[in-house]
Amino acid sequence: MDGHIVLAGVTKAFGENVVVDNIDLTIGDGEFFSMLGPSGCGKTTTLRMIAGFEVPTLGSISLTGEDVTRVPPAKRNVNMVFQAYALFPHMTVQENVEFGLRIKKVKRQEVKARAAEAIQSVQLEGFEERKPAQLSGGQQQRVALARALVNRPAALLLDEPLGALDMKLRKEMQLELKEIQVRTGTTFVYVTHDQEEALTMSDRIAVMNNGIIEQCAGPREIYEHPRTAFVAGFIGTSNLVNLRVDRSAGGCATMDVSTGQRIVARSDAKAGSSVQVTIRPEKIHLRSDGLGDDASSVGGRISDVVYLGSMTQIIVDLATGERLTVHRLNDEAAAADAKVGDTITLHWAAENSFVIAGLPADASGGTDAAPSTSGNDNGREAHE
Amino acid sequence: MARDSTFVVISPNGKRLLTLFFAIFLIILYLPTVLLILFSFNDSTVATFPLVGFTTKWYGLAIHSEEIRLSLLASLRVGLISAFIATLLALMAAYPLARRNVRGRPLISAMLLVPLVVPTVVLGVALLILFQKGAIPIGLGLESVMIGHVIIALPFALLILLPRIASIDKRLEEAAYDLGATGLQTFRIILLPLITPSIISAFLISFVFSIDEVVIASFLAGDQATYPVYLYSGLKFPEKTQTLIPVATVMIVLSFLFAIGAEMIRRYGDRRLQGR
Repeated sequence: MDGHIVLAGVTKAFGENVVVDNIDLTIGDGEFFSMLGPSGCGKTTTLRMIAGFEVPTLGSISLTGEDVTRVPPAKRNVNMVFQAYALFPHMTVQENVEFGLRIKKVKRQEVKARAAEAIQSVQLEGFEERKPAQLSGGQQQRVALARALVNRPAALLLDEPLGALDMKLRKEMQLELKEIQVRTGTTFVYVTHDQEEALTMSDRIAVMNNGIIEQCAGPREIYEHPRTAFVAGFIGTSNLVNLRVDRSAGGCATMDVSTGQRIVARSDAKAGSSVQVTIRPEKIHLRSDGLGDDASSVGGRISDVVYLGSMTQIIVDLATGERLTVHRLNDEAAAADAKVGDTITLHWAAENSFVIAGLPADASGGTDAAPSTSGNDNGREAHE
Repeated sequence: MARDSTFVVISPNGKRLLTLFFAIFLIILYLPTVLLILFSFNDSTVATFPLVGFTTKWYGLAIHSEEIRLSLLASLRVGLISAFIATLLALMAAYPLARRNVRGRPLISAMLLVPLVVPTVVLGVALLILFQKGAIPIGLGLESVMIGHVIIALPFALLILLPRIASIDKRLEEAAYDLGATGLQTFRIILLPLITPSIISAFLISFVFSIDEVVIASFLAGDQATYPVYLYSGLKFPEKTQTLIPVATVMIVLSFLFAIGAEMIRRYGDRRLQGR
């Protein structure tokens, strides 16, 4: 069944408080789509609007081509997996899973068959007669999944479903969820505040903040090419440096830090404009070997060295007062030799500097460039 | 340990003193009741010590008294019907108060709980005026008593039901809607089974209040006395006193059983909600 979901200009306000602000979103059929953001960013409200628990203040939502903006949850072909599962405590696993089909008056034989299939698909055979309280957190999670999937929804909506599980179980369930999603071909809309979870499972991620979508793209794109300062900061660790472009030629912007030290980025930013540049800590090298002629090269003083097991984190203070975090794997001798107080030169390829906000020189009031917040699917003016 | 912090360390002598205090407290609380039960089996026309001998004749007399039988039936009728209405009204008030964002919720709750603090004498007089010649002239009788008892039982029923409904995760109902259930189906299949013990508990407490209530009943009962009204009026006649004691005993025991029953059912409900 075609499970694509389209949100057009959807806004939700509770009184004066605008929680979701004019978002446009297209979620493809069979896609594992995540909405990622800090608490209060509007991701859960967006999910609840897709489920039908909230009606948008403005805009429309369509599901498999049909406008469902005002259709109640019971009449939508989507099912939700709730935070903390919301299993019916007085019913057995079997009764919980059968609930949706019995309500829809599906024939008894088919109810049994489909329930058995759903229970099997989440590997809960033998637990049919247990009550939810007699199950572990992970098993309850599986029941919640089976209870939703048994209805064969066009899309499954998951609201931080792994939030209550411990780290190890969460990792296992991540893989299992992804596997179930691929096997059933169901569209998954997944809400989480855990960036690693989103990166692990998703086909595409919408990073949300203050009710808008900051960026909507695949995990690699989001991580390696963050579009806004918020995305760069929220996903993984990132270095963010405020700079002024000194030279610009052939899609390559150069920012001089001091004599012989420069940061180079692939960008069309004009000379004289203020920009923010992000560099991922693991992209920064301690040697210049093989990085190309136009690599960035910056000197600084090591202010901290932290051993992190598989890698070492080195904090370097630049002459400009900026601070860079560097991650090096511990198989490199140079990483192990780094000592606090040493001066060091850092190198990275031009492809690994990202200009996330380039304001034209005449428009920028100060040196601090305000990040533009328009996302991929959201070509609006900067949101205030 | 959080639990330990709720206890205070007491010296051994302090403990002995507290035990003594508690024992005295229990004796004062239960002595009259025990004496009453004792005298109900005493073979004497006056309820005094020394006890003369064991007899069940007072129970026999009480059972064969037409007046007692009629008053008992009247009380049962008033009790059952008023408890039913009070529980139903409380349920209808508790659900929106617990679930919806009702405007002026604190005021509504306060108004529903006012009968708790209005003296029953005042309420009795007010209802007497209202029913006899006031705006609602339905006259006196058991129906009037029922209405009075609904008013005083309602806050108790509400106080039992409201926290229980509020304690049930709202997402259970959302999950049911999400799976295709209507509002009525959700109430019947999800909410009702989870709050049934509290409903029974609210009903029993309301019932106990009604069969125990004498002030409003004596104002509004008219010709047909309820059980406690009969008991109270009977005290004016010394020759009746001994037949009244078994009546009172039965009442005490019944109230006690109902109260214990209500509490046991409430606890069963707690366990059920936790799914055990």
